[in-house]
Amino acid sequence: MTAHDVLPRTQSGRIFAPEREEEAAEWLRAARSRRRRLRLCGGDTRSRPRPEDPVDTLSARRLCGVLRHDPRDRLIVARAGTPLQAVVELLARQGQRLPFEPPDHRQLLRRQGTPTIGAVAAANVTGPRGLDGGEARSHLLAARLLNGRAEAIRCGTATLKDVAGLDLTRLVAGSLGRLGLITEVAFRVEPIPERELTIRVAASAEALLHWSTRARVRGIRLTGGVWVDGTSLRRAGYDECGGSIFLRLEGPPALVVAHRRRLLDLLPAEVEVEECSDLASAAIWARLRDGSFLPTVEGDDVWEWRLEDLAGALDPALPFDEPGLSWQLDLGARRLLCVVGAGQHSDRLTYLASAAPPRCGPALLRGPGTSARARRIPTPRPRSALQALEHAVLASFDPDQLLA
Amino acid sequence: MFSALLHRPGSPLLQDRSDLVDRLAQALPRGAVIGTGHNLSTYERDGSRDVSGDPLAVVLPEATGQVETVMRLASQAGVSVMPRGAGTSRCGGAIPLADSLVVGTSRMRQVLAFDADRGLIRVQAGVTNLAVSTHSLPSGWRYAPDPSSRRTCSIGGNVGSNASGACALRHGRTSDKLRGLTAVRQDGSRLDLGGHCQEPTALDLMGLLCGSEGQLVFVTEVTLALDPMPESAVTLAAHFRNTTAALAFAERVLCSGWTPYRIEYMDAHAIGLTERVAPCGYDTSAQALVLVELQGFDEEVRAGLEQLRGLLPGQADQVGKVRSEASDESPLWHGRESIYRAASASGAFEVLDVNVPLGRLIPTLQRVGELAATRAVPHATVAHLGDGTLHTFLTYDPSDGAARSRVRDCADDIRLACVAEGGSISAEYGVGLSRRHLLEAQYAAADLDQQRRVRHAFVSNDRLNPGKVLSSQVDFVGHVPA
Repeated sequence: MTAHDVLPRTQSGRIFAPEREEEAAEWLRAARSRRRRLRLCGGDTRSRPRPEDPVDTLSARRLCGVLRHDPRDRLIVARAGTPLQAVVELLARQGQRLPFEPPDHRQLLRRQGTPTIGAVAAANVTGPRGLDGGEARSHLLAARLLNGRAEAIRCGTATLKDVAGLDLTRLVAGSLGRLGLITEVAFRVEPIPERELTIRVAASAEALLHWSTRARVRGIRLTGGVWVDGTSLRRAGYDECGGSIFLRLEGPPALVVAHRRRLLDLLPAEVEVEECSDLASAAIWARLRDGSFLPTVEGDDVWEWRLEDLAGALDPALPFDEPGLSWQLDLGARRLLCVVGAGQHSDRLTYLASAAPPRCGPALLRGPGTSARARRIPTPRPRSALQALEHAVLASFDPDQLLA
Repeated sequence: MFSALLHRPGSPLLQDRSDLVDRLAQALPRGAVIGTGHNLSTYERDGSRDVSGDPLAVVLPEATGQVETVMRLASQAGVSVMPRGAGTSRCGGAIPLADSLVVGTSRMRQVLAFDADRGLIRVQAGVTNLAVSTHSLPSGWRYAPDPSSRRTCSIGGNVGSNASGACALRHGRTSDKLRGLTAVRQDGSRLDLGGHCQEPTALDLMGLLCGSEGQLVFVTEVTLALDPMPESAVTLAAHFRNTTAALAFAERVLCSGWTPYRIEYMDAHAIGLTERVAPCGYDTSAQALVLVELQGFDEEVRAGLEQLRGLLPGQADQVGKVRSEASDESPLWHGRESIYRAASASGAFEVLDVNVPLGRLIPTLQRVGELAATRAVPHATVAHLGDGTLHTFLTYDPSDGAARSRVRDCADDIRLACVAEGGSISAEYGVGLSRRHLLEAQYAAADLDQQRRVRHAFVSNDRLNPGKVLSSQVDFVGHVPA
């Protein structure tokens, strides 16, 4: 039975999850020949299409398995549907990790499915460690994808440095499935450091920006910098009135000791500092990474701002003190999250969302009319020369605009 | 091969030539256009030395607005534009083809903004890599990517080749430091990417432009992230009786949790070559030398150094004593940094910039030796052990044409051997003109077709840096091949 036989001519909303790249290519060819749009996904942790959306889904979740991992190479090659957790566990057994600490936001966003390594590339999923090591896209060495023509394309080379030809991995990372179905990825990996230390300070989000900038100036290597509001922390069991900043140092013990001393010198003498290390520290950062200090009640809305300029000041209009709102600022992930409690409404938040320039405002990650994708993908009719250029690049992969 | 490209008689380009030069001269400041009757030989070649073209004219704009004018007029006249930085390319990346208008950045050398509080600097594309650090140094900053040509190479060229150097392991490449970019497209329109308050993009176009070798846009201004100067830096040098022991030590260092600022390998030939030109006490009886530099706070690097010493193999695998010295007072790096001068002193040379996965370094180094021996080519190799990049120097007598030919063949053999090991034909210099024929060894035809389609989204014809990387020779306007 071929894809042409199975792909429904009238029905929509079906999910196809082939086990081989060739099968996936056949689905794409069939969809193309019938001019049927396809939604691409990995482990299907994103929001599902609405019933009225006339799209079928092509999933990479059964394209599974680690293809290459020699710890000496400091890289891993895996098929796109390989669960992220399986990759993390395999690397950990060899004393290694992904340098960009991809989060798992299923709990925060009340999603199902299984995060996959391919989706990490497709969405440029980056966690707190991005503060020191850069985003996922900086570590994506190569990717293989089926473009809108159903052609298998290799972007980049699975080696640590390569400048031969155009670096299409930069386009693939964060493209959210608009260029093609990612079938394989190669990521750089790094050794797990011997020591980890967390310093917690009661302070504001603005203080986090200020101190992280000063730390960078002094040569202090922070591998995480996150602020969480006081209400969320109290709910999580912290005895705090205001918000707290979490700062992380990692490395050999002597490095951590040296950087800790400089960091404490940097902080004002009057602030109270709480420290924890290793396992206790790791447990805190797992929660910060996944946003699980924030409430996740049915009916909550989750908003996200992208921080394109890390060292810049936060918008003073942000309603940090407004009751019913919970906040987390993660400098490594370049993300400010805000949870609006069920039944709550924030006029200031609504105003900020509506007044922001195109594609610059907050995106609603969870809630009615979820719009995260719409914000970051060019509108169907380009409104600027830059959007027109992006459309042309997208069309070079997907000329029929087949991929939703 | 490329020096004999000819103007096709009766080409409209030839007829329009003086007209275009006149219009450019009227539109730009006095002296910005160097046309007929002037010596253009500087612009006919680059660091690759062995190929040359014949530019139509040379234009040296001073600002983005002038580049917009040049690109618009050239586009209207149907003339190709060849962006040129400092001309340090080692792969013919800055070689103009016969009908190209060379647009250089040598007058675009202004520092436009410097934020000492946040470690950000905005410069014009013609500013040299070293000048960025020099400008930032009094405020305690430096620009980390350090290609060997940093004294002369331009930041615009660095973007074009996504330049890096030995410190890429710790500090990454140009793409990791780029925070904003202004460029001009082939039609003369301006493109602003990244930075604060710019229109965000759905795709990482700025990342794509890094390493695009001037095939997509003409970069005019960049915003770069700086790194703080370290408080302390120490270097450890260990000599080994064999390559296996040297690379095993390097692997232990990389797994130790310390991230060296740089970790370098030199084979016996490289040690001997540099000791003749820049003696700094390397042990010429060793088969391999590993140099490791740690940077950071005083107590941090002292502790790190002690830990690295503990990772050294037994004395049976080593030669002589291990040296460790403060980097700023030590001659230990003089030899390594003199390798280009040392290779020049032994005649002419071709240098490779291949890359293989770290786990394939030992068989690759063995294969390099075998391939060079097969073609009777003297060779010396240094390597960045943090990322698997090999710089193999193949030396020859420039008066011996047959030797030159053997070297070229040997270089291609080695590049193909690296591809066979899962690596790349180029990790640093790019493809340019002289490695185009090897791209198909690394990528399948469909992969390259996709790259060409992406290029086409930026450049509707082949008139921006034609003849390089992805361009197809049949697309050349006004040329016939030799």
